[in-house]
Amino acid sequence: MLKKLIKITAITMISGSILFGASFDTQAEKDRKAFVNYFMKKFENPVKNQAEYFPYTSVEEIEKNYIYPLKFQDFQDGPLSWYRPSKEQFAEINEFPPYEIPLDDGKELWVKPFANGNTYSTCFPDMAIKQNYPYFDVKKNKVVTIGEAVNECRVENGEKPLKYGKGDIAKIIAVIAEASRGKEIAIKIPNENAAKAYDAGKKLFYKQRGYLAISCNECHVQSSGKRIRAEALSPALGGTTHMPVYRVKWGGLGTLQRRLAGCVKDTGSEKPKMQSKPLKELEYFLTYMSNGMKLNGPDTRK
Amino acid sequence: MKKLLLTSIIAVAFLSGCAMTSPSASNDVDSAIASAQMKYDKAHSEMVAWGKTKSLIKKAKKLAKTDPKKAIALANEAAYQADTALAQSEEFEKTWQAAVPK
Repeated sequence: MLKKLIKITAITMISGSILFGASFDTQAEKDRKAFVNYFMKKFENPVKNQAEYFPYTSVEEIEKNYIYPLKFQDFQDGPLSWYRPSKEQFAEINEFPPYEIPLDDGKELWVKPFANGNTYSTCFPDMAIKQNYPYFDVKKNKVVTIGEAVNECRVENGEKPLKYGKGDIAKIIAVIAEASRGKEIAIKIPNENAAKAYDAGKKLFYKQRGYLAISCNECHVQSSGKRIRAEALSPALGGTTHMPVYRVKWGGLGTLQRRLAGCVKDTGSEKPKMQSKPLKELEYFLTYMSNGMKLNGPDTRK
Repeated sequence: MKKLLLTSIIAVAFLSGCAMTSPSASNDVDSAIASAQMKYDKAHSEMVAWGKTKSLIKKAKKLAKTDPKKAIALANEAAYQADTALAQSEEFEKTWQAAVPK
């Protein structure tokens, strides 16, 4: 009798946790599918969709400069996926990829022992892990980015944490990114608090802000596939695949957190701190939207 | 003698005028800056502050003693920005979900 009771309780608990666990990403999955569909439809045939999505772009320009139809994986190239002039410039720049020098520096840092003799490999024996970042750490009850994980590794080994955004941290992340190329983004939402973090990031993405009263969404969803003067606006789908990125504007390699902080500032808002809770939640949401997309960082952008 | 008396009267009037206006101007500056700071702190804590509000308050604080009139104008501008940022955030709170692709 007791055995039967234990068995029933165990089965109920396991099936309950499976069912309950599955429910944490229900809304996120619904959002992601709608997000992907929006971009697929928009870039399926921009000439045909011109009135709906590209009313300020002439058919002649679309025929001359737009690349279409786009497949899901094509979006990993950001603005280079759809805008022919950018893609051509990019191909020329990447004949000698400017990210290679900082990437080589990163490889040297990767094997250089800490004071205690350990290396980054001690913390990350498998380097191909970027597809799982950012993740929600259930024990710490917070979103953990790849940059944070690198600094946690340093602190655990008695080293000072690196400054976020650029420099050595971007170089180390570039090493991890290169090892993770081709891996599909696989962000998970393991519990209710993770779902709350996702929701907070989603709101930050869609809610207008700053003295320009614009949102991330307005530039990188609604206006993706359009131009701001000569610059092609990148789609948010696949927006995190190629990080860290060597930006010509920066003259160096920078992290996703740096890019996101800059983007929020561009709305006329106060620039958020890198690795702040809201910015990590934004990264969590945005990366989840690209689940299933193959990583191709580090890369080069204007 | 008359000249001396007249000069003294003018000097006393001028000094008493200064004594009367100075604390009032100082109070105005302090309260304008304090009000702007309070509003900015609220906008900042809700992560909706605009990009230039903080620097306006900083400039107002710097000018508080040397150019109170300008300092008040800057503080008022900062307060206006913080108020607008908060009001804007409240308004967009009602509408942002409509932008999510369905």
